[in-house]
Amino acid sequence: MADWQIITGNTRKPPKVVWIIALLVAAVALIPALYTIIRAVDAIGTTPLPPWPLLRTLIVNTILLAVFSAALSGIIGVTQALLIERTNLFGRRWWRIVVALPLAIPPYVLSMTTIALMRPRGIIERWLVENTYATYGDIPFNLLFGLPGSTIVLALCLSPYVYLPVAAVLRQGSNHLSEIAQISGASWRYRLRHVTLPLIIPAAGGGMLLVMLYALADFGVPALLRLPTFSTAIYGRFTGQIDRAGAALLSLPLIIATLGLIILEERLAGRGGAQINRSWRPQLPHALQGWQLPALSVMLIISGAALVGPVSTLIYWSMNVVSASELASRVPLDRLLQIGTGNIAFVAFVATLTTALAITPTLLLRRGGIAGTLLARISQAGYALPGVVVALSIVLVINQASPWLAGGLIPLILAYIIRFLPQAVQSLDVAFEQIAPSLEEAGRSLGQTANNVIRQIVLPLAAPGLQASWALLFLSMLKELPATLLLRPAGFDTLAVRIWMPASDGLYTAAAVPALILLVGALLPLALVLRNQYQRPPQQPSVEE
Amino acid sequence: MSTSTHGLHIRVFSLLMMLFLLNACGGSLVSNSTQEVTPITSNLVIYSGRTESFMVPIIVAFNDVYPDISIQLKSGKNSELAAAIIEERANPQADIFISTDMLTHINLSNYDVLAPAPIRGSDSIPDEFKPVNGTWTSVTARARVIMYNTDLVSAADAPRSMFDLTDPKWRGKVIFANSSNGPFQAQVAAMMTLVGRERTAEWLRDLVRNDTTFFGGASDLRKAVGAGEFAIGVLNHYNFELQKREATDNRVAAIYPDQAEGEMGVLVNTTTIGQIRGGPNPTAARLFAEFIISETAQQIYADTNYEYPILPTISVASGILPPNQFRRADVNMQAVADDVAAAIELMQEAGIP
Amino acid sequence: MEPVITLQHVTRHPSTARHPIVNDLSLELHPGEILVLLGPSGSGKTTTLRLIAGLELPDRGEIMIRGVSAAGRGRALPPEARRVGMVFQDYALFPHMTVNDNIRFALHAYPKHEQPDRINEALRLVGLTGLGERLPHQLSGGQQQRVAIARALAPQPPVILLDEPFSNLDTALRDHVRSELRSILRTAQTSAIIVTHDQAEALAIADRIALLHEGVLHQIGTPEELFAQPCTRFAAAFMGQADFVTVHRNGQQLSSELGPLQLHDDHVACYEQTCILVRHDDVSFEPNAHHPNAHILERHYEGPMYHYRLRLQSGQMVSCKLPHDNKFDVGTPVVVRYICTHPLVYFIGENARSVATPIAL
Repeated sequence: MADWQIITGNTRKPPKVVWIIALLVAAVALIPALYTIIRAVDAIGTTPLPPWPLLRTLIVNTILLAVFSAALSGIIGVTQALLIERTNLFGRRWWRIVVALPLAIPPYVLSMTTIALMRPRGIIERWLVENTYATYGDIPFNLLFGLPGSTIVLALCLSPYVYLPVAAVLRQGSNHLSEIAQISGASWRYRLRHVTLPLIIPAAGGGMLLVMLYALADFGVPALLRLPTFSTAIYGRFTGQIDRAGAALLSLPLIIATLGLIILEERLAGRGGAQINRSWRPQLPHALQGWQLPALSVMLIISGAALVGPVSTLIYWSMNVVSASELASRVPLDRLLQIGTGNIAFVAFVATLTTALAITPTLLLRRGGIAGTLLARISQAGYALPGVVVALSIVLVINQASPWLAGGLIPLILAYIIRFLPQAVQSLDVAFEQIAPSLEEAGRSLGQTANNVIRQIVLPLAAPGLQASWALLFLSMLKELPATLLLRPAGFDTLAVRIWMPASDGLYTAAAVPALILLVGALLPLALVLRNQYQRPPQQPSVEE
Repeated sequence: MSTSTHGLHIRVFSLLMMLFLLNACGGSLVSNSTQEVTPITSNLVIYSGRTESFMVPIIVAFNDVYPDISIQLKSGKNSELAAAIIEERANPQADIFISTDMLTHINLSNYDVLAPAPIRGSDSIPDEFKPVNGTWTSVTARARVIMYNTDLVSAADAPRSMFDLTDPKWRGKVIFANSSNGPFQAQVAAMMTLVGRERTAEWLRDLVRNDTTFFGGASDLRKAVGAGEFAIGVLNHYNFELQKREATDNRVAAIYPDQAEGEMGVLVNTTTIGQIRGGPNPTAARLFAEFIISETAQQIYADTNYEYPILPTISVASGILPPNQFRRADVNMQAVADDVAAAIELMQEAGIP
Repeated sequence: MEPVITLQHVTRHPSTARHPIVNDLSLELHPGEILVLLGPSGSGKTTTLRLIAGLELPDRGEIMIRGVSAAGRGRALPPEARRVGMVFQDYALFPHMTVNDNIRFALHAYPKHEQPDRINEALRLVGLTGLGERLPHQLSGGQQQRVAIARALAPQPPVILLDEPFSNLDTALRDHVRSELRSILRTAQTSAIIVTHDQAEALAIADRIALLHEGVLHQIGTPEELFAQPCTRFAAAFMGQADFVTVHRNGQQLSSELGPLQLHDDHVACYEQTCILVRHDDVSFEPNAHHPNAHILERHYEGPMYHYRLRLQSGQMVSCKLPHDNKFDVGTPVVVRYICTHPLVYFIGENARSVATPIAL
């Protein structure tokens, strides 16, 4: 009984080891942001900014792309969730899986197939001209490029970020309010407006903010769809001229905008979504009746554009040789499969590492008091930086601090960890928060140290969440492009690179096979994500029998 | 308790082991053939600003001669790779740097990261295509041409000069690469010397005013014109030759511009190769550099890629306008290297993304 | 004997709360004793339990476990060093572990070869022999609770703490589990502190009851003391159906609408008017149309008894229960009288109290 401690009144306060590891993680995660900011501040005054008209274009395009794609993905995701979870839409069980599948499709692949189909004189316009009375130019296909196309492509790919949380709220949230409204005779419209929408707005808002963050930093889509944004300008600064200071300077407004969004997200999350209710009963679905067909059409159009279009185009391309030069830029299938398996093994490894590293900051996030929260937030600094910037600063820091690390895969691993640690911390936090505090307290009162309680109670119980987090990391890392382009050692290829190299040259058919391999590789983690979404993890035993 | 900590240690250890294994491994893009010719076993790391499809045939041919040299290729944009080479100065990762634009090599040589090792066989390359200090040499030459879609533009109507592209009748119909494209940067830098800074700036502003699209790289550009999405594109001559030989979308023609009296003439730029100072595999690097200016490789570039070989002894592919059939612009590309930064500034001031 | 647990002037006042959650609480738990912390929600009883377990720390005061200081003066033993068993309201069984593993988790300080015997012993104690390989969700609510108790008892702590142990059980099961828990605790010779908000439960299981209200200890004593002789009006009202009837001082007697009472002391001499506590078993009534002093306001059927609410002429209310063959209609005029022979408690203000015995007429 001599084990005296000075402790604060918080039994869930993590042990010292956790703090030490979290401190190291945060230090690594802070490197790129710190480096970029220092570099940018240095560059102010000495490095010329792009001239104002160009800068204004960049600002307007970046903001509009973020806002529009968030709004459109919000509309798509909420519509899908409502139709699937609250109506008797035909084939609801299948739709649940189908609408989550775009998670596996990298936005730059959808851009590529969309361009081929929809560009002026593209596959669709040609077909129309050859088979109907239409002539070239009748339909403004050139609208595809720039803002409209980029918005649509991003929204189609990212709408699962809205759909998944909203559907979860609709499935798990308390229905009582809606049922009371129904009993008291409120119309379907009234209930939607005053009961259901307020219930899902926090979840939808959170998802839309994620889409905004993604759109701010995305490089592939605007680059392919000819929309100059900050992200493409940063990449251009770096690839078009040897101008690292300028790239850092351009990153500064992007960092500030992202920080603003993260703060906003924190506020939204604080408002809390729906309460998860134990005595949950499935609600009677709203009968669509005559609206069944229109609703189905909407679902089919969205999924057709996001899934059927790109996948069938990829399959067509990979089975049809279009031109000699495209053939020349193809990599043999066995080599691609080799790249694919290597890529998947690598990504699986880094996703595991990142999940493991995310544990300590997550533990501190809600249990470590102000200092812990701060440390956890610092480890999320990678959020505020586009992939190009993370990659850039890692190149620079490693070459200055420890050049012996350069050239191998360690810089790339670091970049993945720093970029995706915030995502891991976020999904782990959800998993940890689902564990009843009494379980941890019971562990302590049964004579186990805080360390043991984390290892034997918290982590095993969070396993489904850890798995889902791992799967999401796997998907993101498999699709990652800008950091991989800059940091991959010579001879190391990823599927994303194999897609991008020909695609950025307009040789789309050469990109088809690696894109298909990537889609197949993404299916397993996607299945894990869906399982976690639709099968609630084993919770505490139900007390009423 | 003690057993589980032990288990944890083992797990951490194996994790670290995996890290180092991963860090050590890499793969070669092109599998080695087994025939034994020259017993040199080595790796060779190439940073290439050229599109991969233009590198693969040369690598295959090289491996036929040196099957035990395993090549790792990292493709990217010229300046991106140049920046990487500068950053890696303390611990060079690459042996060879290939660029699509002479000016990138010239500027890179100022950072003292290129080995001053004159390549055997480079004597026969004209002096204007290699520097005095021997840090790099040109590999192939290309002419800057105007390509047009013959369905949309008649031969009589086609623009004859770069300056014709600002004509309102081409409003919205012309496509260029964007301001981060090396050959376009070089074109602007050269024009600043040829017609003056003011006239170049005005030309760029007029292009923007005329709703010209600035986008992407050469392959994308030629396909867009071939498909008829744009009527006219400015690119290197071999891109036109490639497009002309496509199975579809091949109704294109090219103008070697600015040939009239008082006009500036056709701009010629070269792709270049240089050996990295302190690279890990200097012997293999030297062999590759010698190979790429050998007659074998030059013939491959001439025959499959329709470029102008840098060796005067190799003839251009049939159907390609020979170099002596058009008037070249009178400008020393090596001398305009210093103007690249100013050229980019000019492009950005004009509002070119 | 030395107390198992001693609380001395313990105060818990988080900076975020306006009032202390536990305010200057002192109490002792004796060996073998079952002490019930009773109070309405928000009275600080669960916090007291958590303070003892080490899940929270007191801001002032000291907590001793078997004579050793466990918390106080800025230092504290962590929960795992206190050797205090705890049964949580939601049982907090680890859902990913079998019953055996749940119990083994508590036995990590014992040598490996002893653990199986201890587990079996604990399961036998709670009557769950043979269910060791089940997972918690395969057990009924009552079984889950018994696993939680077995787990808390397995390392043979000197005391176990139970937070609302019966709240998740249905009524039929409750009585059974309550008596079972008593016998388990007796067999294990373990002292216990049980938190509940249900006074009937407290009366049934406690050796002593500590009544808390707004963080303050109102009264501590045997169930009989708390029921029959509450110290405060709050205690009187909380321990069971209580009516307060106005009485007037009249020499050594008190007069009331229900009849006169005899004072036993005279320290309330200065008070002319006060209130006496009347429970439903202290009075009885019969219909009387001629000289009624009350009438029936409500009647509730409770199986063996009818529960009547009577309205006195002054407007005050009293409750009375009669066997089910005495059925009278609402509105019937009645005469209501004291029937008890034991002293009744009366209050002066909120807290001061004394007793007076009804005078048989």
